[in-house]
Amino acid sequence: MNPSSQAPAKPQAAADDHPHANYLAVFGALCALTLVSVGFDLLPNPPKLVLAALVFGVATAKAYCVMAWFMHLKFEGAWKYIVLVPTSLLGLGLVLALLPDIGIHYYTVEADSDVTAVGPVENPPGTGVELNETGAGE
Amino acid sequence: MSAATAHAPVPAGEPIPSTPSRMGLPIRNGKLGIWLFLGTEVMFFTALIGSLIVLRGGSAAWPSQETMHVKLWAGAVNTLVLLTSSYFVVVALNKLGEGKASAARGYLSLTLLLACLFLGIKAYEYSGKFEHDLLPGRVPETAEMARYKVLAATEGILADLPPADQETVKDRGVRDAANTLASFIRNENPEAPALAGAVDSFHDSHTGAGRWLPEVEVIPGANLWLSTYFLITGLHAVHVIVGILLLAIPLLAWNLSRAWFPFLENAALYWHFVDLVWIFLFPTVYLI
Repeated sequence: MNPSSQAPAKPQAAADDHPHANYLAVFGALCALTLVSVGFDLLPNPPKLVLAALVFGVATAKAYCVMAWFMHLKFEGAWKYIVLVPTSLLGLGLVLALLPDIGIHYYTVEADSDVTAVGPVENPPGTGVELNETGAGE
Repeated sequence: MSAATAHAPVPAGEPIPSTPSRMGLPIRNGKLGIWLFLGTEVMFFTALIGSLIVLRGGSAAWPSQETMHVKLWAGAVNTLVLLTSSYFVVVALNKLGEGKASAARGYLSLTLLLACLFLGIKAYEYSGKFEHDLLPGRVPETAEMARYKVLAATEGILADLPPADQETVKDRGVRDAANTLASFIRNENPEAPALAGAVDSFHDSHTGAGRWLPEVEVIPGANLWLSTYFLITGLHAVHVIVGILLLAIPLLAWNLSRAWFPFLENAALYWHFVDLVWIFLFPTVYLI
C-alpha cells in the first residue's frame, strides 16, 4: 500500500508542522499517576464514594495528559471542540437518561442473598433437570 | 475582512456586504475523518462505561473484585503496558517526521509487542473466569439457582454414564453418588453451604473418575457484573486488535518514509484512543 495516493499533496508538510513535546516527561507522569491510583485502592477501607472520586480524578488527569500531548490536542485549533464537545455530551446524555430508572430510583431493590425456604425443588418445565426417584434423567 | 468590519451596522437601504466563504476545517481530510470517527467512539464507550456505573449504582448487589477473581496486578500491569505503547507510538511518529524510518520501525515493533502482551494478560484473566465458570448466566445468585445448577449437572453425569449392563464398578459408584446427591437436593432443599458440602463430598468420593460438578458459590449480582465486564473489556480488546492491524501496515511497508506520516498519525490517534478507554476502564473494573 502506498499512502501517497490518499495522503495530502505534501505529506512532508504535515510532518514538518507536527508539534513536539517532552513525551518522556508526559509518560513518566502517566506512570506515576497509575501508581497513585493503585495506591488509593490499597488504602485501608476507604469509603467507596471517596475512592471512586479519587481514582476517577486521577484517570481524568491521565486522560488529559494523553489527549493534550500524545494526541496533540493542546496544539490544535478550536475545531477540536466542534468534534469532541457534542459527542461527549451525547455520550453522557445516554448515561443521564438511564439514571432516573436505574441509578436513582425511589424504590428499594434488595438482593435475595438470604436462602429462604421455598419448599422442595420442583423442576420447571424445560429446565432440563427433571429427575425421577432413582436420579435417572427423563 | 475583520470581524468588526463584518459585523458593522448596515444602514437601511444599503446592500448587505457578503463575506468570503471558506469551506472545511484547517486540517487534513484524513485527520478530520479519524477525529470524526473517534467522536463516534467517544459516544460509544462513554455510553458503555457510564451504563456500567449506573447499573452498578442501581443494582441490589454488586460482587467485589475478590469474589470475581479480578487481579489488580493484571489490570495495573496492563495499564502500564498500554501507556508505554502509547509513548512508543508517539516517538515512532516523531522519528518518522524526522525522516528516521528505521528508528520509527523499531518503535512500532515495540508497540506491537506490547499490544500482544496486553492481549496475552487479558486472555489469562479471561481463562480464570472460564476456569471458575464465571460466565454470564452461569453463576447462581440464589440458593435455589445453585440447586438447579447442581441438579442439571448431576443429570448430565447420569446421562453420560454407560448403560447399567456395561458399567464398571467405578461407574456404579458414580451413579449411586449422583442419585444420592439428586435426592438430597430434591428432598432436603439444602442451603448453599450444605449444597457445597454435598458437592465436595461427591468430588472427594470420586476423585479421578472424570465427573465434576460445578462450584457452588452463590454470588448475588454476578451475572450482570460478568455481562458488563465481558462486553466492555471484549469490545476494548477488539479495538486493540484493530489497532495492531493499523500499526502493522506502516511497519511492514517496504517503503516506509515521511510520505507515511499522515497515515501513521491517524493510526497513532486511534491507538491513543484505545489507551484512553483503558484509562477509564481500569478504575471502573479493578479499583472500585
